[in-house]
Amino acid sequence: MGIFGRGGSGGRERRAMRKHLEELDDLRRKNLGELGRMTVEMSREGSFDRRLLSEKAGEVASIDREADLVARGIEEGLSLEELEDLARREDGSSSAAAE
Amino acid sequence: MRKGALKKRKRQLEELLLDRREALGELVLGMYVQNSWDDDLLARGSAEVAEVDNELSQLTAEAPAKQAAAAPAPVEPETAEHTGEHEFPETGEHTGEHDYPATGEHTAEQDLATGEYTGEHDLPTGDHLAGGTGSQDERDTPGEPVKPPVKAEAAGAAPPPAATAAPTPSATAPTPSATSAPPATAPGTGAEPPVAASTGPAVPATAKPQEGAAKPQEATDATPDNRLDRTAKDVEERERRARTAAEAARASLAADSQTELTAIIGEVESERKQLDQALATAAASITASEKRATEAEESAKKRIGEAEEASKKKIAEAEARMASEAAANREAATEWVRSQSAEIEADAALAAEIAAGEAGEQGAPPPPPPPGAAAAVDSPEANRKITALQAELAAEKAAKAEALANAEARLKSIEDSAREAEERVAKAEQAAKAETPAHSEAETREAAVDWLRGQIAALRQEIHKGAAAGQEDGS
Repeated sequence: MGIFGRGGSGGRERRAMRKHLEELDDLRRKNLGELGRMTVEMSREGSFDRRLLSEKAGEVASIDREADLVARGIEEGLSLEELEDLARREDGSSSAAAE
Repeated sequence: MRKGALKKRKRQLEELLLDRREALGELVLGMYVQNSWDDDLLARGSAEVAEVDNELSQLTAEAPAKQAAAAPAPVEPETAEHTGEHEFPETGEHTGEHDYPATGEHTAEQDLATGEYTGEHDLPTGDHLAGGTGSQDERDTPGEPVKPPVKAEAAGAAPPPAATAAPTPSATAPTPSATSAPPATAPGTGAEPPVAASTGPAVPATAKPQEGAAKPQEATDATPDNRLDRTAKDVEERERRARTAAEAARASLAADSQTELTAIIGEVESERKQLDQALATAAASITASEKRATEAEESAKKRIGEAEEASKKKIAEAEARMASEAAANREAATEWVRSQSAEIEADAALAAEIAAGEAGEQGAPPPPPPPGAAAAVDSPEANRKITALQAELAAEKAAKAEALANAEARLKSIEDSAREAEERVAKAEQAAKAETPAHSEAETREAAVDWLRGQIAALRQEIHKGAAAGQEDGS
């Protein structure tokens, strides 16, 4: 994470979160479109490279996770610091689970 | 097809292409998340995207030629005829908000964000609102229907009011309800990002109608047309179908994995049942075979016991018969020996009498001789006869004694043979018990009994021969 500046009022933070959520949505759509384009190209070539598709889909999945986190912060009224801590905890738990 | 229609069509196709690509990307994402790849599904989704892509390419290729061909055609009169109000129903259904579902999910900016409904839809409204008051009302009350008669009077008005009226459909975009939609729908579930994505581009969408309204040429191109509407609806319908198909594909993917799991569980259970049944059948067959083996063993034991009893009975009968025959033979032999002894004793008595008679002639008076013998005794011939008789008697005695000795020896040998036969029978019985089955044992005993019978018959013949020889000797 680390995408937001520290400080500021709750309203500012919420606005920043919403803006970032919109950016994430745009990025998600863009990546999904790119993923679809890759898939179509692979289909034209006659074979699907699952490694490439997985990489791209993994990017979209990480965007989804981040968007979920930001949406949760907006919904629960978390500050940016709390949200960052939450993100770190979740990263730690997910990496521990992966290990 | 006019330039505006072509543009609109092109935009729609581009939008559809983007949507389909995104839907395909969603599909790939779903496969990635579930780690369940289906190349067929990917190929189908790719084919749908490629179809739209081809169509777009065709349209792009056709557009310049058609525009060139349609360039000299008079546009102005038609543009004047087909202004927005002609196609608008009096109910005002076809304002920007009317295509949105009543659920409120799709706010104005959501559709405007795609860029589809910019020039064509909004500018005619702006033309009609050029009269002045209508535009302000439209801004203030975005949900109210537009009143075509009022706008028709202002058909020839200047574009600036149109520019102010253009954002009408998207005027709800900055409202708190529109902007607060993402947090309301945001809780971190998998379905949220698309919703947020649809609301995301709301801000840039508000700017697009203004840009479209600033160009009067596009306003004329955006005149509503039945075909265009149909095409738009068609494209929307296809877009909706594509989204539905993508969602269905995702759902089917999840359902497929669930169904597959269920099928695997069912197969495992059915195989387990079959295995249990097979085991039960095998156990039943094993039990049945054990039971049969036990029954066969019991019946065999029973038969063996019966055969043993029968053979024992036969042996006992044979032994009894043999013993009785042996006893009879002994009795007969003893009787014969006694008779021979009696004859010998009689002969001896006769010889003693004869000797006493001869001694009486020499010293004491002899007993009175038989009437016929008195003359013979006195004569030498009679003496010779007596002597001959005595010699004959002695010879006969010796012969009988020899015959008796032979008979005793023979009897002894027969008894020995009988004893040996009994021993053989006993040995045969033991051997039969040890090795041979019941029927062969019985046969062996039968053979032994036959042999004994033969021996007994031979013994009888010997005895008869001895008796005949004794009678011949006696006569």
